[in-house]
Amino acid sequence: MEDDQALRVYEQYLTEYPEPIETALEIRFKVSSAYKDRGSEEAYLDQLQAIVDIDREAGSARTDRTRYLAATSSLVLTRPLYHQFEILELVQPFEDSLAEKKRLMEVALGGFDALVSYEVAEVTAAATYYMAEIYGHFSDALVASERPTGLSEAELSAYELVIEEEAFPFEEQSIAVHQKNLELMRVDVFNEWVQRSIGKLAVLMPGRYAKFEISSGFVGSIDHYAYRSPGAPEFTLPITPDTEITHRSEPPEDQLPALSLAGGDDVDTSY
Amino acid sequence: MLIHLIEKRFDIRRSALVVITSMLLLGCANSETRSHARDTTQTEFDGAYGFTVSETVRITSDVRNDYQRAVLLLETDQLSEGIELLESVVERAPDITIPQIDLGVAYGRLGDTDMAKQNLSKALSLAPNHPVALNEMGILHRRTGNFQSARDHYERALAIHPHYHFALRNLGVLCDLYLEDLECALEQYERYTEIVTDDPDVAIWIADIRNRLVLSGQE
Repeated sequence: MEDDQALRVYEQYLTEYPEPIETALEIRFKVSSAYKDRGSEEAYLDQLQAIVDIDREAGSARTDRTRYLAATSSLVLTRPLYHQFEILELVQPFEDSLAEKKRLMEVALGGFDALVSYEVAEVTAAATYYMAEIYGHFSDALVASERPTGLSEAELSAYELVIEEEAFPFEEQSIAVHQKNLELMRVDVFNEWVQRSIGKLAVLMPGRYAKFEISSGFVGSIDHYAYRSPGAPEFTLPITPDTEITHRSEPPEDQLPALSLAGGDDVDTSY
Repeated sequence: MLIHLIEKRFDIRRSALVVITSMLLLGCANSETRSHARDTTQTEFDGAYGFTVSETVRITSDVRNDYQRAVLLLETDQLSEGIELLESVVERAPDITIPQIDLGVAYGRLGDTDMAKQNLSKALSLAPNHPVALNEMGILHRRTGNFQSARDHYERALAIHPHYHFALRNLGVLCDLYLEDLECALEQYERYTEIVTDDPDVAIWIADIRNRLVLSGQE
């Protein structure tokens, strides 16, 4: 009830004070979040579209903040283009579904490409990630496409070969665009989307990108941490009557930490 | 007698047993240490291959037992329960380093980077050169995009413990993927494989770096 009242006050404010634009867009962004929280998807998207439109028409009133709000709103509005493209399977008749998939691919690529013009790092990284995924998905979709019936074994082999040849450049394109996303790190941009690109590249090019940090894990002993390099040579002491232990360099065995010195724990860098 | 035998066998160039007291290490400490007058730990080097960082703790058996129970929970992936118990240990023993480190590791696994950093910072204020805290803090800084801070933490760990393979590998990954400093990455990976001789992945990474260096005309 309280939320309803707040929402009404916000909307009243927007009606009476559409300017200054930056303040109005901030409030509209809050309104959109309120609709999202209550599950009013259509009203949520309408508010986001309004933010995009107002920012676009703002002229000299446009600020970095309005651009940011419009860019993040536009990203949400563009994402369905990817999902519409993704869910369409390549089935027989192949030519028809391929033409439709290609059309949706162009629409989605155009939508995400347009987001880059906002010059908002977070949104640029997200848009680049999605564009890379579009190419990657198209490659996968070709490989998984429904095969025509009535082919001989030799014809089917030839068909498979052609499909793989057609799919491969799209996979390469996907890799290249994900790598482009990593270039953002050179200008100190690192966020979820760049990290996701690294995660995807780790699968596509494991030798180059599947490189994860290792944690030593929990220490496991409250008063000491004992470390011995995994490459340390094993040694046994010659036991002679005059051997005496003059120093104990490690704690007693029952106090050793429950810790794997050799392996550690891989830290997955993908989200 | 034991030390002499080890020295002779492995030709350890550095002194066989070096006890570095905390006061000697304060020069390496950064801002995480400044609020405390001294390091609470001491490090004993066991030749070139190992060391023990120890701390004199005065705690009740209840605290000690609760710590062990917390670790058991954490190691069996009961993170929330383990963290809750470990928080109570830290509350009762706030000046002990290792529970703070383990809390940092636990929060890191839970994905709560802020709490992880907070606890590791406390640990590093108590023990500025603790290799586990430095390594874990390096990982957290990398995750949050603070690559130079990550590098600083790994390098601080390696300055004192040059064979600490966790930090060697992690610094290599940082230089390789995030800093694009291939020379640095190659150096760390090569030093790492001298210590971890059976890691086939890193052997591939070295080949990859060499190839990229040739392509870029750096080698």
